[in-house]
Amino acid sequence: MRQQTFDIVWRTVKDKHFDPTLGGLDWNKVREQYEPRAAAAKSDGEFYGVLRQMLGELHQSHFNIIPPEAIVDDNSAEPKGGAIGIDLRLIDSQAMITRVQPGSKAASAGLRPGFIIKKVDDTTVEKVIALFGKSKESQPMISLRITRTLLGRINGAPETTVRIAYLNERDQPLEATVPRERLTGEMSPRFGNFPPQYTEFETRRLVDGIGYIRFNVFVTFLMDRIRAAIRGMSDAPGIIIDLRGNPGGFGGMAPGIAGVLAKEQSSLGTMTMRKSYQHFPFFPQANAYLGPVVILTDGGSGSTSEIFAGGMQELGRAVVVGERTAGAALPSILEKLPTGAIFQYAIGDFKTPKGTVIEGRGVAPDVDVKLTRRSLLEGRDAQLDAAIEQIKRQSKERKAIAAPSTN
Amino acid sequence: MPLPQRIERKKMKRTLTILILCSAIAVAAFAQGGQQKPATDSKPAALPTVDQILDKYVQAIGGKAAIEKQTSRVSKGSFEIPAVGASGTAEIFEKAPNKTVAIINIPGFGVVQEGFDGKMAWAQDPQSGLREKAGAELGAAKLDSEFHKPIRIKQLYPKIVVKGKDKVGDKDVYVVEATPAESSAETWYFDTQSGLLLRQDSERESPQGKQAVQSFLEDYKDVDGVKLPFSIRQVTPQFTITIKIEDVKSNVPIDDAKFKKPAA
Repeated sequence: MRQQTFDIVWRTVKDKHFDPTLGGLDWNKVREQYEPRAAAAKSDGEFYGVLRQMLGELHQSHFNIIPPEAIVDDNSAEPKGGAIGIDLRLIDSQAMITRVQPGSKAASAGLRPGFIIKKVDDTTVEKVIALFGKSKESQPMISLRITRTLLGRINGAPETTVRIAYLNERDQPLEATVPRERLTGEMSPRFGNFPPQYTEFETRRLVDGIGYIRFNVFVTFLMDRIRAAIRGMSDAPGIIIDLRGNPGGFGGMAPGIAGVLAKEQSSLGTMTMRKSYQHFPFFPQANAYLGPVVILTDGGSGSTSEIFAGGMQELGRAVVVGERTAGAALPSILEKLPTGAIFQYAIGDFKTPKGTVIEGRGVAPDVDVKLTRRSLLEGRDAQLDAAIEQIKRQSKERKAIAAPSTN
Repeated sequence: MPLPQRIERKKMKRTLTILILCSAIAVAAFAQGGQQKPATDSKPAALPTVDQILDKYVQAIGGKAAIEKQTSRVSKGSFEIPAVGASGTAEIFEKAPNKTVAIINIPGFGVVQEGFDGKMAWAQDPQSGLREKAGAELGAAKLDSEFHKPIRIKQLYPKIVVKGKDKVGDKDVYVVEATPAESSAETWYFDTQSGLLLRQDSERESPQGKQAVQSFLEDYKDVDGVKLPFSIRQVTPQFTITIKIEDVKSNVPIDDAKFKKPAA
C-alpha cells in the first residue's frame, strides 16, 4: 500500500503540476532518490516524512502530506482541542506573545503581550527554530512554521497543563504552569476531504465607530457572518479586516467577500493551471459597503488571505497595513491516499490582477508596520493603530471631497 | 493548517456550474458540445447527413410526439467528485419552453442554485452570493434551458457539420460539430447503432474563464416515453464528476416563480 501511495504522489506531481517542467527539476531523478527511502521506512511516520521531503524538492507551498492521525475525524461542532489563550509571532528571532485573550488561563497566569517565550515544557524555542534551520522556504514561511510548531506545543488537550518559561517586561526569567481550556470557538463542517477547522470570528466597533472584523480561517461556514457583519457596518467610517495569522482556506471566499465591498464586477486575479486558467471574479452584492477598507496582514497571512489582500490592494479597493504576507498562495486540492493520509497538492499558480506572483514573495503592505516589544508591552497594537489612522485619514479625505466648496 | 480547498473550492464553484448545467442537460436529453478535433473517417462519403443523425437521435429517445408531450420535469439525483471526497444531492426543475432551475446541496458547503426564467439567467452560491449571467454564459444558459431541445436543434444551432466517425468506449459513433448562435461550438458523439447521444464535449465560458468539459451520457432509461441518461460522467482537466439521476417525474406542475432570481 505504501508503494501504491508513493506512486500516486509522485505521478500526481508529474501529471498535474501546473508547470510541466517543474521549474527544471528532474522528477524522475527525484523518484530514484526517494523511492528506496520510502520503501525502507520503518514506520508510517517515517514514510510520510520521506514523501514530504520529496515534495519539498519543489520548494513550493501547498504540497503536503497530512497523516491519518492528524485528520479530524469528528464532525462535532464543538472543538475537542484545548488552548491557553495566547497568540505569538517570531519577532527579531524571539517568540513573542502578541495577544492574550482576556479572561483566559494565560491571562490568569500573568502572561502579557510583549513577553518572550523561551521554553515550552522541556523544549527550548531555540531548538524549535533550529528544526527549520536548513529550510529553503521564504523567511515568512519559516517564521510561520516555527510559530505554528510552538503554538502546537503550547496548546493541546483540555484539562492538561503546559510549562512555559518566559521573559517578562523587565527581562526577568519566569516560569508558569498554565492549564489548557477547551477552545471556545466552533468547528466548521467537513467538506469532502477538507476536514473540520477550528474557527474564531470576532466583530466589533472601534474608536469613532470604525468596524473591525477578524476571522482565523476562510471557511464557507463563516461566510454569512462575514457578509452580515460588513452590511451591519453601513454607517461605519471604515472597516478593518484583520487577516493576521489567517492561513487561508476556501479560495472562493476571497471574491465572495470582495463582492460585499464592491460596486463593480472585477477580479482578484487569475489561477493558471496546466491546461486551463481561472479568474477569481467577484460580483457586487446588494447593500455592499463602499467606504474605506483596511486589511491587516502579517507573515501568518497565507493563501486565501493573500489572494484577497493582494487583489483588493491592486484594485485600489483596500489599503493593506501590517507586514508582508507568507507568500504561500498556490491554489490546491486535497486527495485521500490509499493509506488514509491526505495529499494536498497545488493545481495552479496565482497572479494578481496586474500579473504579480504572490507565491514566494507575499503581498507587501502599503503601510509597513512591525509589531514591537515596546508597543506590545504598552498594551498597544501598533498595526491596528496604524489601520485606524488610515481609516480616519481616508474618511476625512472623502468628506473633504464630498463637502461643497466654500470658495 | 492546510490551506487547501481554497482553490479547491474555487474550482468547485466552476465544477458545480458544469454539474448543474450537465444535470439540466441530462433531463433535457441533449446538451452542449465542444471544440475538440475528432478523429475523422477517411471515407466521408459513407457518413450519414446531419438530418439523418438527428432524426435517428430523436427517434432513439422516443420520437417527436413523445418529446412534445412532456412540458415539465423534476429530476432528483446525487453527485460525487471522488478526487476530493465531495458529494451532494441535486434537484432540477424544468419547464417548457425554456425555464430551468437546479438546486444543489453540498454538505459542508451549502446550497448552490442556478436558473433561467426564460429571460434572465442567474446563479447563487454561499461564497460568491447572487449574480446575473451575461454574454456567452447567458447564451449557454438559454440553450441548456430549451426543454424541447432535441427537436429544435437545427433552429438553435445555425451551423452543424458531420465530422466523421470515432469510438466512445467500444461503441462506434458519428461525430457532429454544432455551433450555436451565442456560445462556443460543441461536439456530439451519436451511437451509430442506437442513435443515442453518448458523449458531448464543450467549452464552458463564464466570468471565471473557459473550461473544457467532456460529458459521457450513460444508463438511458425511459421516462414516460422519452429516454434520458441517468448517469453522467463529466471529465474536466482537474476532476471527474459522476452524476446519478435517481428519480424523474414528467409533466409536474411547477410555478413560474420557482425559476425567478431569488431576492438578494
